[in-house]
Amino acid sequence: METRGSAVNGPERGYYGLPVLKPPVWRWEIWSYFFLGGLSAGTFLVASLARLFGDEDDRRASQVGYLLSFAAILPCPLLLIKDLGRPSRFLNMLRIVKPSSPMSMGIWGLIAFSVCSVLSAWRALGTVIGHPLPLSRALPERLLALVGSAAALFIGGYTGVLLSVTSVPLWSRSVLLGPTFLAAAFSSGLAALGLALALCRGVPNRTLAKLRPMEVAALAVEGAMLAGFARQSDRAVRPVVSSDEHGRGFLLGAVGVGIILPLLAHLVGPHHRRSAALSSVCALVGGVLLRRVLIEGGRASAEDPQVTFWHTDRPPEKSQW
Amino acid sequence: MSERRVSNAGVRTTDGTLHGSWHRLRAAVAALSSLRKFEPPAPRSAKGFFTDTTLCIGCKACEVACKEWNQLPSEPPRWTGTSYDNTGALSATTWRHVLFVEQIPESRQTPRWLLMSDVCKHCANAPCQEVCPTGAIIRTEFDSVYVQDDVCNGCGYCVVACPFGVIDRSPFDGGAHKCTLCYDRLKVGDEPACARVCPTRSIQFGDLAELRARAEQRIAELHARGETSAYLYGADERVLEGGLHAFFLLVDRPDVYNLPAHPRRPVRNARRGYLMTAFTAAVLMVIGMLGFARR
Repeated sequence: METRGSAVNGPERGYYGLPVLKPPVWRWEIWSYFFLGGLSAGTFLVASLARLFGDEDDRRASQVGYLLSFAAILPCPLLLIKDLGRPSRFLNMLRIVKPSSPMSMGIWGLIAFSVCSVLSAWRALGTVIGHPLPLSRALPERLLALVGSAAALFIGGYTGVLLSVTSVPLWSRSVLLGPTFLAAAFSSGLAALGLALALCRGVPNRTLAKLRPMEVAALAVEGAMLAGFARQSDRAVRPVVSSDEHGRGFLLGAVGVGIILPLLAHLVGPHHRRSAALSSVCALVGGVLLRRVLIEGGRASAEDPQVTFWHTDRPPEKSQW
Repeated sequence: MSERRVSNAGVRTTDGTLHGSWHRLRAAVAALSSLRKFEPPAPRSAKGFFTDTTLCIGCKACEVACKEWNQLPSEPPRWTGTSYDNTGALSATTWRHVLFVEQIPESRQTPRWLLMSDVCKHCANAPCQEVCPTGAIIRTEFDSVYVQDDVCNGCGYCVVACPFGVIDRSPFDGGAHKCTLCYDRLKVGDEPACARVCPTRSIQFGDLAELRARAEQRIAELHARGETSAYLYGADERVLEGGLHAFFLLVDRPDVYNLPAHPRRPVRNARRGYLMTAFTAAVLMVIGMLGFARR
């Protein structure tokens, strides 16, 4: 029997190069939300850790952290609503709780976290301006920090899980996108708080000095998770590492400016406020680029039929622990 | 043909405007109706499609009937330059799509065409339904997968969840749309429009169990006649851990028909993803605790 191809010209797999999957409809609203939500969660975590485990100086820094967290979460619901195809129906997200859908769990988690963030910021504002605001004395500070931290950990990581619960090869080949986003959120939180403290002249250096080794460790975890994600994704990660627009953004921005530069600055750079501020800015810019490149890379991944066939060549392993 | 809205929700007078406070009140109540919990109809026997691609003649009556019955707008043709297929793919406004595959070997002695009418697979474990956060996507009493257009808010999650690239968000009305298995026709005891018009009965509609039995018989018949490459795609539990309620008889590799060989179920990634995230969370919290506890 003669060999047949799927087209007149050659043995390339697929149907005339037409994509198998539909590209994602998510744009800048979604990667902006990923960054801001992660930043809000990260600053909340740092502020809560400072409040629960730090000394008196750290507690002052935690007030700044809670205010930053609130500022970062404010635009998030608006971004999510704007992204919808029918924004006026955003409340329909609250019709159900569906554990199999990370987006459903995420909406409820976002509400829980937002409440904690708002209440913590309310209390922090009272402390910062000198006299407590109405009802802030009644708020249980430690309980808020604990419950809010649990919600923050969810918010920081669930967006990565959301992307991996799809059919897009770039997002779903690896299971490490959630951990990567959470580590990025934490390092963004440390960077943002470090930046704020470096810019405030009245704050002593001790808290800043404490942030430095934590940032090194957080950046190392983020780098390790990102490397693991790239390795697990194998061929699917090509849209973000090849030398076109996405590749430059990823390698130079997310990895170079966002992880490697701050890491080096903390480890071998001079230890004063200006360099701390600069490396914080780099880490934050890198965080934005990381989310953007991954979202936009998803479109390229979905539109490539060859990657889809490669991704679905073998049945998934039985061991789905 | 004008582009009419697929959705018909909302209270409007004939000229499209809302008059008076009474109508505004009615509109508000109607909008809230999507929050009311309705009693689902009693389940009936599961229905589906058996599409025997060896019988397809590429007439596209199914595409036309689907567009007409569901009042879907026409789209400008996609001239690929490589194929007689000028529809290209399923979309929010194209719910049946006929593929034309020309297979002409080097010697040009034994050319053949493979023709298939593609459709929503109505998966037993539909990824679109599993990720939909509003509960818009449901299973009907016929065990088909259906998008409730008055609930969908266009989040777009179903679009990236579908491993077959079926469902899409419409740029016209912002909602997600796909084949409904002609739910409205099934409710009155009729069959879907595409099955009704197919002149060769390539598209067969009926009880899923009966269709599967019929399909097995057809496979045996084809094998006996020498077409040993014939097989069923999606008829058994192997695809998406439950099979497809719209399954196909194919005679070449799945990728020839732009189908994934072993589609993965997206929710299977959730547990490992959450566990790895929790592990990372623990590591980060230890870093934070040690970092701040230093004196």
